[in-house]
Amino acid sequence: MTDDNERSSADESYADFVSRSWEGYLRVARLLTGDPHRAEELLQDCLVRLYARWRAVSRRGSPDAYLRRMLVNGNVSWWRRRRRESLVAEPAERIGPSPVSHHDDELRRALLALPRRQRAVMVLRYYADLPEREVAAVLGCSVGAVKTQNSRALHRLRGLLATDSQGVR
Amino acid sequence: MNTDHEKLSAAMRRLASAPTGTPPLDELVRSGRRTVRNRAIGRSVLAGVGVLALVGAALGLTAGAGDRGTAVVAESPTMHATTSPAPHRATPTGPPMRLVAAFDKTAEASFRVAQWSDWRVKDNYCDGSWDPKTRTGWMGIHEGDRYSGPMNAVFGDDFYTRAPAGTADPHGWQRMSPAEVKAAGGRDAFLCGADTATMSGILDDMKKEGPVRYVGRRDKDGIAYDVYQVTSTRPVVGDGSYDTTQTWVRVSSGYVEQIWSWQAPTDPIHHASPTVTLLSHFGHPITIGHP
Repeated sequence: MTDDNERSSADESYADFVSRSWEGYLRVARLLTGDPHRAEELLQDCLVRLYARWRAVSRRGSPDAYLRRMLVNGNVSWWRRRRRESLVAEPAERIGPSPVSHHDDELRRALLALPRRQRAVMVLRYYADLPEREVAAVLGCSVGAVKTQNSRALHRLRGLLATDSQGVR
Repeated sequence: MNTDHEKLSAAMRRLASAPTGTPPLDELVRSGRRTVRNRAIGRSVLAGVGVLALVGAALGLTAGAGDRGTAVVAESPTMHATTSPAPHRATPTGPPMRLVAAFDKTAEASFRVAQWSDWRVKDNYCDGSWDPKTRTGWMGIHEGDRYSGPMNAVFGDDFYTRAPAGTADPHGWQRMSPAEVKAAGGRDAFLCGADTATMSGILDDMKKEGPVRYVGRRDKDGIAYDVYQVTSTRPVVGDGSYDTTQTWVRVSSGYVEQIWSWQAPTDPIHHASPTVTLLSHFGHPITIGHP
């Protein structure tokens, strides 16, 4: 196969993958970032980088896992993507008006109040429905650490939601 | 627990349910190709001897051009336009580079950091200070004229955080456990990166990326700086691109006063000319907010 043919075939499979996965990963990115615009930027960033490695990644048959990891890492490292600029603080996180219920809005705000790592665990476990083992692989940590983060996140969420509801009443 | 799991899953699905549109496939492929090309060029530059010339040209650090003190900081974002023409500047001879960060220091003992990590978000930056003598510091993330991220404060080994206004956090300042601090990224992550913005910290960090060169001593507004530089010899973790960093160390104090970093653009958005103006905090008082 010539280089041109190979490139064309790789481009096609890349395009297929992007078309197929855009919707799902954009939603994951929205939950991770809490901001629809940032989510789209993050996903586009990741997809451009994925293109550069597409042949190797697709050959290994793991583009989903790879993209998922890029999204989580990209979001965690948004403020600290240049190593020396390490920041833990949340970036501006806003979601425009959306037709969600009051309870969902409470959940949205509570999710945004979680540390990024814990939020990532929540999104991967409860939205992407990944088993703990896969969440650990995405986050590059142990299953035990995922369990700990998950438990802390749930505890915090419950506290936040309970207090928020009281405040509303 | 399963019910909880299902409820949470369903709520998250509702949260993320807004229409997603279609992917900008053509642009993604075009940008991806450009990234591949830039990397190839970057590798050949690294293998050659053009790094200093490249960065010098991009910086405008030829004799006299860089000797403008803090004014250089304020002007710099437009100096490094990537695809946008900047006819009054020297044209980079290698892959286009862009400025991604600069730090400023305000005083000898403590410093204040103003940091823009993403040019795409105007007026979104980290602001904070750290005094190594009293080991106290604080930081906050601004968006426009308000704090949009959590405020963090450090007192010795005690770390406190509070959520930004408007988010559901009834607890106000909360002390963080050592494990939480570690998970969040450690002390440095609470200080806009200020904890490693010391000569040894930065140089240690730079050494991990490639051989550090001493560029030489430079004078800006009568102040002498030692300039060190490294260009990564492998893609930067989590980013996939190569970058070049210069550290300007004030000779009299040993403190890093400015850090400049350029990165080969990797995506469509980064090809836009940065328009953010860096703020200078020189002369501003440093205040410590006690939780």
